[in-house]
Amino acid sequence: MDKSGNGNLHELIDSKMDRNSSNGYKQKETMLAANVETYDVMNNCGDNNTTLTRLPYEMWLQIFEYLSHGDLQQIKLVCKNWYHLAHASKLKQKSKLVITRENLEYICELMEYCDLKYESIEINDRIDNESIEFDAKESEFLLKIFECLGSNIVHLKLCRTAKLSLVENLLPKLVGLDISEMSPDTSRLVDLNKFSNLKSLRMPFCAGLPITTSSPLLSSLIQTPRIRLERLSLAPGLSLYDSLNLIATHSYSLRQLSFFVEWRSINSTLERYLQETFKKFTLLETLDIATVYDMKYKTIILESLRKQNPLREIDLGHCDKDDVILEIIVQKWSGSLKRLELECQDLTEKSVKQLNFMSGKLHCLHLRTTTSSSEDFLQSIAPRVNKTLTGLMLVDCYLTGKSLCMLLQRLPKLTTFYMMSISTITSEEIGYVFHYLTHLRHLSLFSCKSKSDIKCLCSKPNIKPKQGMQGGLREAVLSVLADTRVPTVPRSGPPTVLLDNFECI
Amino acid sequence: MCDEMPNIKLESSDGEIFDVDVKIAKCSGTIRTMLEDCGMEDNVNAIVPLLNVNSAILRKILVWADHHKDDPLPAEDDENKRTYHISLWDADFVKVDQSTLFDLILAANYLDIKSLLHVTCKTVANMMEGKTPEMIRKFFNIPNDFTPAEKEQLGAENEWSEEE
Repeated sequence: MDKSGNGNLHELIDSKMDRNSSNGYKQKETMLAANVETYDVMNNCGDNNTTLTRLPYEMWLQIFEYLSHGDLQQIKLVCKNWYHLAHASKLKQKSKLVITRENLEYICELMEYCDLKYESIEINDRIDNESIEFDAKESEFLLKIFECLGSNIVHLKLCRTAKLSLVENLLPKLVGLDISEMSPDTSRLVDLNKFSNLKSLRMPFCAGLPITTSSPLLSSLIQTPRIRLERLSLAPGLSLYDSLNLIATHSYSLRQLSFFVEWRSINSTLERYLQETFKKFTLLETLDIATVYDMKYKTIILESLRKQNPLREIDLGHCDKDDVILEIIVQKWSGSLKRLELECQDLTEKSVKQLNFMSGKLHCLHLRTTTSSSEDFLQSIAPRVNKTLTGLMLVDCYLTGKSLCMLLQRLPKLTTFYMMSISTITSEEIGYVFHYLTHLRHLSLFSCKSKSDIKCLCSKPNIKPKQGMQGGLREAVLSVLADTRVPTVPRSGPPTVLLDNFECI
Repeated sequence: MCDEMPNIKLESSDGEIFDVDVKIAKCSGTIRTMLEDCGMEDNVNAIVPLLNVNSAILRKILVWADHHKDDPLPAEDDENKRTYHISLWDADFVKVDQSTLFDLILAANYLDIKSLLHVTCKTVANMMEGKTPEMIRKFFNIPNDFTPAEKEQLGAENEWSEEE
């Protein structure tokens, strides 16, 4: 009932609009137009009476809160009233303003008569992927923009060489700073003491050019405790000792930690420091230790973390002794854990048991196993009907025919289903997906091969989505596309199936 | 309070009286507060006037409240509004004409029934999803009051902003 009533409404949009919408968006619109199904709401709207006045502005605002950034952009262009409504600060959190070399001057002009008070801003000074410092004139424009908009900025992302020092005094509300893409030579000089409200930081990627303790960036994070970070994402460039110093300084306030380490083995002093540091946490909700290579240190981290941390999400990365790790997790956080990411060679009997234990609690599971049998797999996450799991991402899991059918049958509430493997997927198997997953909104059969064209498959009567499929499928990627979250997915030749947005009701 | 749930009377804006189980009526935060604050709970003959809800809409809302009377109270922190899920029954319930849907939103807001407000607002939002401004204008019958020059400017602004 979601995508209804677009019948013959698909109109020519003027060239300006056309340029605005991204490719995917346009495709979606075309798809919508093809899916003609008129709904009685259409016929009943009073012709001479605009609905604009039917609801007070607060109610429209509440409705807009459910929309995505892309849809909000369209809402802004409907009428003047909605344009102003869509600029409400609540909704602005969904969008960020991207300042580039090309639009600098124009934004300066536009500021005069448009309300551009975005909370989130990104400065991108790249030309053809190469970062080139703003020249004097461009810096002047940037300064002018920040003089006007700076007081509203909550999140800021700086790419490459954009100078933070130029604008640092104009950002009293800054909470989130992303300097992960800034060049190593300039990022080390960033002094965070100016930002007393800073809660979230993405560290720069400084591989090869290590950040030293004497750099303003690190000293402002470790030696001056004015800032209390809640979210921290580390990147290469810090020694383990400095990383631990940094984490230890903020361990009482950190809720989200993405650990990054280059070390493979460490001495016993550092090992003890690692233990002590992780013992200090009390509020941790999200932990990403996927880049910690050695199982020993993964185990130390999880053993040291206290049970009282309300851990909701864990990304474990590759584990070869997955049963030990899973046992710790189940013992400590089976009550709070909602999302788990795990890669392992083979699910051992014990791991199957542990996963089984969590199967009624996990909302989202990302699993990569190469050799597990399909029975083990079923036993682990769907021993019976599992109505809690809404997201399942499977990489390299060998599930076909009957076992896939069983799995999907037992997971009726899935809204997101990704299956990435190099095996061939038959039209019968795609049929199961549509038949059983009536709540599905995101589907990706990444790099799965199919002999027939997906559009043709979807039009077959036997695999038409079941009656009453809710919400409509939002997005289906059935192609070989780059996905940064799964860097090691095998690329298997040219895409045999390509469909970016597939709509069905 | 006695064990068995008493009934109370609700009066719609057009004067119709509805005899309703207190438990069902208490789906509404507004009625809940009225009963508790005004000590009407023990008064069997009390009539609660609902000045902003007509009988047709009130009847519909009581059907909704009856179906959801045993639901747990929704958690305070509604995580991500975009992932909010509408159940089949609810989806069917809001399959009404636009005017009724708006009346339901207004009533849910006035009566302070959060889950109904969720469902109805989300339903309207779903109607906007994936549509161009022109499609939305037609769908909701909204006149376009932008001058061509203004349109040009807005387009530019949209081009520079991204999904956060």
